[in-house]
Amino acid sequence: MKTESKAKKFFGSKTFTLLLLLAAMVIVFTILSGGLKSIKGSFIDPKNLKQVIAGMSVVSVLTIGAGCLLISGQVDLSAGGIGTLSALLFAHFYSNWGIPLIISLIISLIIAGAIGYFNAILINRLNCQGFITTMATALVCTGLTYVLSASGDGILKNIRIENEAFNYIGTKSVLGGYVPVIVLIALAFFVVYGIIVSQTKFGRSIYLVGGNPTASHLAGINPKRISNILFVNSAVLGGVAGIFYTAKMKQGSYAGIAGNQFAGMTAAILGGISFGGGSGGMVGAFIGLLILNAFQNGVTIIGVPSYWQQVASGLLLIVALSVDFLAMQRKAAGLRRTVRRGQAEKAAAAEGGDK
Amino acid sequence: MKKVLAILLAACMVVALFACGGKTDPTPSADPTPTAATTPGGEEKPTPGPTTDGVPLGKILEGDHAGREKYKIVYMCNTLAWAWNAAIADTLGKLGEPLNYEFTAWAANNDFDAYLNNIPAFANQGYQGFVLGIDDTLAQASMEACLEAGVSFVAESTTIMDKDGLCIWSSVQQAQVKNGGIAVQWLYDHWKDYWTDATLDGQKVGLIGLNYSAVSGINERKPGVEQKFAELFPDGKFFDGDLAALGTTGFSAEGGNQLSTQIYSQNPDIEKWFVVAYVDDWAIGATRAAEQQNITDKTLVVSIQADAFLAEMSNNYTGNVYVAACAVSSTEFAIDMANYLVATISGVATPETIWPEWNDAGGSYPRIQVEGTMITRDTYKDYLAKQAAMLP
Repeated sequence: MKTESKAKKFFGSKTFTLLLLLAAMVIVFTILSGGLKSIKGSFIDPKNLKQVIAGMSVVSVLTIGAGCLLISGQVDLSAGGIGTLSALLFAHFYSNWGIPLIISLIISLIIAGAIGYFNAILINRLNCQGFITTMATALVCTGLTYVLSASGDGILKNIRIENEAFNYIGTKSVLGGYVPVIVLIALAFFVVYGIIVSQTKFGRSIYLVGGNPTASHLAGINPKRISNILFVNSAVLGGVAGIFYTAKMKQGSYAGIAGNQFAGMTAAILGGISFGGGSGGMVGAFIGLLILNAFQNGVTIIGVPSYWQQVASGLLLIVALSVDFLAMQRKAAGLRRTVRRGQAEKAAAAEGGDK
Repeated sequence: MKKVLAILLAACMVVALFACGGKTDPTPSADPTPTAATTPGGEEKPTPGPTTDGVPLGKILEGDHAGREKYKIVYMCNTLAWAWNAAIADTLGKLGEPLNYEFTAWAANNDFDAYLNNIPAFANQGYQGFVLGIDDTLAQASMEACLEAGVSFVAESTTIMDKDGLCIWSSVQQAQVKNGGIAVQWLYDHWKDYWTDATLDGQKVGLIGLNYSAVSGINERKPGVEQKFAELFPDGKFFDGDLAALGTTGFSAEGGNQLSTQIYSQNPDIEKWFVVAYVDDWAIGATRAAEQQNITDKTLVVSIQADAFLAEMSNNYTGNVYVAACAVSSTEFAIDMANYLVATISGVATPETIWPEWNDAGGSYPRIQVEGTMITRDTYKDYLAKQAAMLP
């Protein structure tokens, strides 16, 4: 009986819906890429699936950072810019100043965290609008990235990283050459954050803050403190994404990961994390990321022209947002019904008491 | 409800995919009418032809291409929205027939991680030849990805160099410094054709160089422009209009418009403006800015690269602001790169043996430098005819 209700719960869950969508996507792309005739060169060719997985590394940490903030009802548009800047600083520290790799890494992530805290102060203490504040921070970081990259002749330069272990992490694969090392690390991040968000008191606080900040305050949670932590977290994860990118490219670069910022948010939203806050989770975000990567890879290998790929990606996000909106409306309608029923029952009980 | 939505979502996706499935020609082509190209001095540009290794430059590689398997070639760039990239993609597509290859163009749209991941993805789809439209950021990593995938590849517009600055792979690019100088020389030689009753007071002449310093291939055009301007207008004032200041959005006609508007209006003492846009799209922005500020009678705009100029001409542009462009032949670029790929895939040449006369001193790989020629409203049709004649 318990098993039956668990199964019922699973089939009615967001995760099941997402898996259904992913399965539909895999089937469509496999057919369109000729997978019914031969696996080789099709979407489900293991070599191609490796690329779907490989594309997850940089965006995955951005998805986690964006996901946590979205659950709390906030948004951070600066994670990509912060990530690019801190990765470039890391390259500077290590390659130009000769600071040991691990120390360079720690310092650059601390700087990323400090910028995230700066965001948090502006938003939570000075009550600046989060969307605009983080957009401005992103601009500042991009500008600083250019300043740091400019050489004497005014040309922007990349900074090479020559460290065997670091480059191994960025470029090599394990498990028969099918799983990039960097993706394994990204998966570890998903597991750790999945546990934090779903199994800890702090994780539950994030949901409460996102779902109903007033109620969370009444429950003894300090929403601003949670928000501060999440902005710092988002920035540090941006820094990690930048380091991942640096490891892949073997160089610190001014171009960086700003272009991946929206992919991270898209994956989180596709994965069922509500833009309104209070719902979704890391499992969904992970599947959302898989959907996004599978979609991008699929449209490329079936030969959809680039312009149309953008149209299709945009459509996918619109559909995901619409589903999210419909679900929120349904939830609100359900709540209204419950409240009305409760009030009616209360009124009936009061009437009975009077008699 | 959720299941219904999931099915609906999947259906939407399928519909979107099918709607997108029809392959479109990635490029709006410029006016196909004919042409003749001249250098500032009026001399004919030397025609590229056979090279010592038998793989020609600027002329389609001969051979029995139809008698072999059809190759698969992909052009990977950041965006296909730039006129130059679009023109390269268009010509590479057209060359697919005579050189017997299937062609696809793909754009990263600033997702550089996806750029790297898609190299093995395309290789896995059977693509044997890659044209890498990259900048320095991606150069090294893209090269390694191609080497690992075991495919033939050539860099477009960027030199792939090692840490000591030695060219470590083949590329086709424009003669950056020289083309900058050609554009300024043309302005010096021809300003009188447009400002017939004017005399130039050196101190009141300004030249705006619209640049994007973040891309070294573009930034290399700056010294050519700046030095030639200093030489020809020693008292003139040079304005470095660096669009990188506007972030990634600066790399557009809109960026060119914003920055030139700013510079025009902040310098009312300048009586005559020259603008050299190091990328053609930006010249459109500078031209519209001059029109908006009502300074069309005192501004001459030229560009390096001519695809946007050709598009203006084919749209019947009648103004006298955007008057000329240093046409760097995207056709020549595309032919050289297609020849390179077909020759190296088929084994006619190797990256180490092809075009040795273009190798850097001490280097093993060629760096083709395509020179530009100035075109105007009067000569662009001849130029186009010449370009068209290069294709079958």
